[in-house]
Amino acid sequence: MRHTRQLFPSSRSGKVDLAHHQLETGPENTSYTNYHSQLNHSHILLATMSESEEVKKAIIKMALSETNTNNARQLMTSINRRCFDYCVPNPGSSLSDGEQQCINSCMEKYIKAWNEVNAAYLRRIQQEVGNNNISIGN
Amino acid sequence: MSNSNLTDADLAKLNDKDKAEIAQFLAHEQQRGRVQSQTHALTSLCWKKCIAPSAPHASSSSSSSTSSSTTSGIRGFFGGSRSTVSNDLDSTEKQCLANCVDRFMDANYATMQHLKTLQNQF
Repeated sequence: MRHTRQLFPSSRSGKVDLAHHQLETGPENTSYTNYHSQLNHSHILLATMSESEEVKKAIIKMALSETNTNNARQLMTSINRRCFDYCVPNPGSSLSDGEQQCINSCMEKYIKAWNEVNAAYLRRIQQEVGNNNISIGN
Repeated sequence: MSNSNLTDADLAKLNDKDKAEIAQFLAHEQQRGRVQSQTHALTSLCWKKCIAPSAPHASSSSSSSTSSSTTSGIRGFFGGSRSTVSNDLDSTEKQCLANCVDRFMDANYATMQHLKTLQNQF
């Protein structure tokens, strides 16, 4: 997850991801299993409340991880396809230094393009929501 | 990930407030996933239009004319390889990407509108 965040730092829409960030860096460092081994039966009421909290956080973490993994997978698939197209128009007997260099640059450029497109798309969605979904920004 | 082995017994520990929060979070997360998927589709589409038109040496009206003119000589020399591709987007490319997204959405809307008139016709 940390890896994905480095890949496209500006790709996340403000509101939702601020919440994600807080969840991830929040004070939930005691792991789920550790918590169970420490469970004291004399504090059942307190334990029930925080147990629910622990399960909730585990579910949220799983969902976040799934979305982010899925996003990273889609991004890598697109990059491989587009940059191979772009950098290796005539495949030779090996990948040349130039082609390798091109792929590196292409990858960085593609991520920047993704962020641009994402920003434009979010802008457009917001515009449409502002127009109450009736007309599409014209 | 140690959290991935949640059991039914674990789920039973959830109180109503947390259940509601989870439902709301998952709805958000689904929407985020949809926006990301659509962004992937649009980036792939617009990349081909704005950054790498399918015919390598064809001059494109909307793609960056400055960068392609400066690198065309080198490209020709290396027999079509693009070793000098910049890892940055120039302003023309950025503008093209933004236009591409907006016009795609316009076209999408126009298609839906025309579909409505066709439905009335037949």
